[in-house]
Amino acid sequence: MKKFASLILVVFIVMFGIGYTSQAKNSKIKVAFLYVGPHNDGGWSQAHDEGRIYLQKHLPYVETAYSESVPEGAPCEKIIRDYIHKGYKVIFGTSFGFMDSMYNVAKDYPNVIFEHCSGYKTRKNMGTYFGRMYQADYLSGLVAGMMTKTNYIGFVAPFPIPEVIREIDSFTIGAREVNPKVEVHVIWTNSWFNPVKERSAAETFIANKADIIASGCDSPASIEGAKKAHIFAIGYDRDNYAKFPNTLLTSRIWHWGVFYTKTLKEIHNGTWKATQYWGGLKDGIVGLGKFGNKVPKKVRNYVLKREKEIIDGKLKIFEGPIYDNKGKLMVKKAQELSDKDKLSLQWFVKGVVGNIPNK
Amino acid sequence: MSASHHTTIIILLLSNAIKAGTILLFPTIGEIFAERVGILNLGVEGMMLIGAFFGFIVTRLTNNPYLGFIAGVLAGGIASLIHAFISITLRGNQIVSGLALTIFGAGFTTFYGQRWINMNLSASFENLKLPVLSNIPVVGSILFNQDIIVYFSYILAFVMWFILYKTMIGINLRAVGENAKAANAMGINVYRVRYIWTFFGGLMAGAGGAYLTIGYAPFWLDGITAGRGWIAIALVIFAMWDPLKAVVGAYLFGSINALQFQLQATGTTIPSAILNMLPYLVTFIAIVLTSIIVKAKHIRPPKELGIPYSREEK
Amino acid sequence: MIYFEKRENISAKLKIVIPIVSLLIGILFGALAIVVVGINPYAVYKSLFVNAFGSWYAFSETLVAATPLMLITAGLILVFKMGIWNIGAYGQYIMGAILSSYFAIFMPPEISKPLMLILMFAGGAIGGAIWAVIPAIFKVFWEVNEVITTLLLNYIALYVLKFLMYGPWKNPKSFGFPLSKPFPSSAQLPVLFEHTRINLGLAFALISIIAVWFIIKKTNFGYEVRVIGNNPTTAKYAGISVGKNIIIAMAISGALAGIAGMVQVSGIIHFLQVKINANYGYTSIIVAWISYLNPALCLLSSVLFGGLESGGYSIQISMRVSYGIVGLIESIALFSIVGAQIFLNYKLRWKK
Repeated sequence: MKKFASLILVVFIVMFGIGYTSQAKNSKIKVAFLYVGPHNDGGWSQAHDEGRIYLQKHLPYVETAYSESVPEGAPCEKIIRDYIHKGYKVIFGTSFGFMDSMYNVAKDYPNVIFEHCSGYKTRKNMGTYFGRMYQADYLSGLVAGMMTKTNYIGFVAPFPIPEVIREIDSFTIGAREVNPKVEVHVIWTNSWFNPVKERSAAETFIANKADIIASGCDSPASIEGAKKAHIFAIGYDRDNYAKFPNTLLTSRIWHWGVFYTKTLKEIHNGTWKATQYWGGLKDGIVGLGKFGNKVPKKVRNYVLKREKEIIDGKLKIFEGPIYDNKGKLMVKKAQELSDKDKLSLQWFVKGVVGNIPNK
Repeated sequence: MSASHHTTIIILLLSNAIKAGTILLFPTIGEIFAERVGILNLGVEGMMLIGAFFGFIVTRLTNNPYLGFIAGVLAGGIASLIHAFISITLRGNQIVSGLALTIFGAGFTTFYGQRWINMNLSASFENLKLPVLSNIPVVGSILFNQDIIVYFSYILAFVMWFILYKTMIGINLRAVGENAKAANAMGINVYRVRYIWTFFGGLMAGAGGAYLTIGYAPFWLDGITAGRGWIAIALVIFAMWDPLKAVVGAYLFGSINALQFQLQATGTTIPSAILNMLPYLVTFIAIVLTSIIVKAKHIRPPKELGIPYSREEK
Repeated sequence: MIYFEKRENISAKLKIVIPIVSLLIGILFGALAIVVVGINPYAVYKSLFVNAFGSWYAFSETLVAATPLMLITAGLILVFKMGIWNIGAYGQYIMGAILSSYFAIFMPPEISKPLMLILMFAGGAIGGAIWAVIPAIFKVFWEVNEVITTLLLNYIALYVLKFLMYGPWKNPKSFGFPLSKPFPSSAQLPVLFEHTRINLGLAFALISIIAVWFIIKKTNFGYEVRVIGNNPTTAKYAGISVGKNIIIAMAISGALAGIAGMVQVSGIIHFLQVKINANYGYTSIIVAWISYLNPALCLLSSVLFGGLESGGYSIQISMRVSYGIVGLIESIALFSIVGAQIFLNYKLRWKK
């Protein structure tokens, strides 16, 4: 067996040679992005990749690279270290599951800057970033509330985590502000990406007379389901208006490029500090997509008015009184839910029909 | 809510369950025949991905979903020939070869599929109300207001059941899976029969995949089958290697999923992870129960399932 | 017409040449597949090799990936030798991880490290063994096909894990994210080499390979396993209790997969989450086969596949190719190895 082993080894060595090739020196800041899905998945990862391209286009002193379909868990750490060995100085991890891998590596490389999307662990050289998507969710809820005729809206949801619960809650707050009869029904698919399940969930809502389907999952399957049933959908991640002009009412979209250029400018100027960035509509990191063709002028104007009020700080979405869906008062009148409570949100507001496992 | 309102919901849900079940029905029927001639092909998931991928590309290029479907079917068939060659001609281990085929399908479609992600199909299959039949109350609107591929699957299941149990072809192919040596003595070309039905299994896996990307999704993304090939393999046992029982199994599986989603939409307090587990748990229990019953009734898997055959040896 | 003729005896030379040739064929076809999209295959392979074996760090990561493969494969070899097709290592790995995490999460962290690790080790072994014995019992008593039941139990295990992570085992301090409480240091396997992630799990893996080798070659149980593998009917007539042996072998196989799950959460991840890389369970089936069900070779092929897994992700960085390429190369190599096995026992002949 030893012979077999050494033979294979020899074959490999002869064929490939050994050693890292040395990298040509250049003065650009090398920035690496880790995506959890394919870079052109049409959803979450693509939204980040568009941010990367935006960054590359706007800052000439930046050089970017990405790894797609990076597995969460053990293998992630090696990928990060490989980037660092290749001279990358900034690592953006764009999925929650990369948190501990980044946190571990960050300890060993104090001179490398880490930015982790959607997590909560930080170091001197590791910041977190996320967007107040709930503001856009609220606005899209306004559109949905005004457009529904059956008052039954379906929300296809991936996992019962605060990020998603926040989306459903703010969406419902928006919808019921303009139409108190609306009920938002929730189906968990327990998967970020499972087109057949997402489509079946949408079909279930449609069978129950839903006339608007919103989704927090990453495939466009539920929009396709809505299109086929000639009802409306609310998009997520990116603006798919061009593909579904008559189905989409609007979309809640990420503009990660805004954050990426801001961060790289700070790094370039030497002013970067690890923070827990949570930007909103005002910063431009989240926003609404184009209104669909079927959305009347009156609705658009109202939504734009509320958008301006959010940006001006006049309107707070999670301001009391807010009841949960069992009728308990959760936020008192004139009080606002703190950011900390928003980040660990574990209950549904009144008007949501659904269940959060074991709060 | 009124009773008629509930009926409408149930009709719509079950009608969708049939569509979702059709994705499983094709590969299940295909795998039944492969196993009937003694070839266990664990590559269903891979063949489905390949069928889904080529079905999508051809539909996209030609704007003709029927051409696309045929292309997907053929692609699945061609992929199965790798497994056939290794397990029939080279007598390799079928489990490993099948697993390799699944990895191959995933790797191949991910590697070459990059530029096809995030595109839409303008053409798909339209629902076709069958006259008379669709007027049957409840059942009519569930079964006979579907697209042409679903109707095709009904006919296919019946025809394949007929072939298996009522024709000489069926007798011969069952003989090959039960006792290849005896079949050879009867003058059956064991290799040829095994090749043909393994290829048929691939065609059907391709059909399931192509129906998924053309008729159901309709788009292409990496790993779009999300484990459905494995479920099809489980359904083969549930169906006791009978194409008609496969229909029951595939639709039941589709319905359980629809049911658990309906429960969620009405605000049940059962954790969704448990509900998501249901289809697998129910299949597991069903398989165990059927196997226990099967043993009592002296029906069992084809005797030489997974065993290579060689004419030269005695 | 071409046909196969059985060889009288298998030469040792062929045993070495055939796997190498088939691996080379796999590499060659993989190269063709890469050329089609206009990428230099030599550069891809070189990058793969460098990222897997080109430095001490790369090699240490290869060993980290190889550790669970060795553990699971060692167990699979035992059951595969009997002709029992346990493809449920995925689920057994998860159940092992869950049960061992139970101690790390719920035991008072003050208890001594050795005791904690022993408890977790036992938990991993028992969790995996239970998940393997269930299908074994159905197999033995009711002839329920184990391929199917082990497969379904994989899904059920995954949803049990999801249920726990989104429900009762969720860390209240993780802002609702599906992570368990971090393991106390007493529940973390010690690292063997500084600045690497190689931990005591590697020692478990090496010991288990030796143990399986010993069981197969030197014990009465191992003898019976081999007899059953050759011909179960003969075994029955020889008075061997086939059913009992199947259940024992499955228990061992499941226990080793469960220990692999324990090693992953206790040695690498240090908490429990949904993504614990249970796919090692499927890769191990391949590794077992590539090793010709030989424990010594399993060591080598685990390292090779560990390298492929760990280096595979990194070739994206240097080559900008989709990760799908790894599956493509892996499967083609596998096809040729499985296909080429026939040449060990047969000669190709030509007859008019």
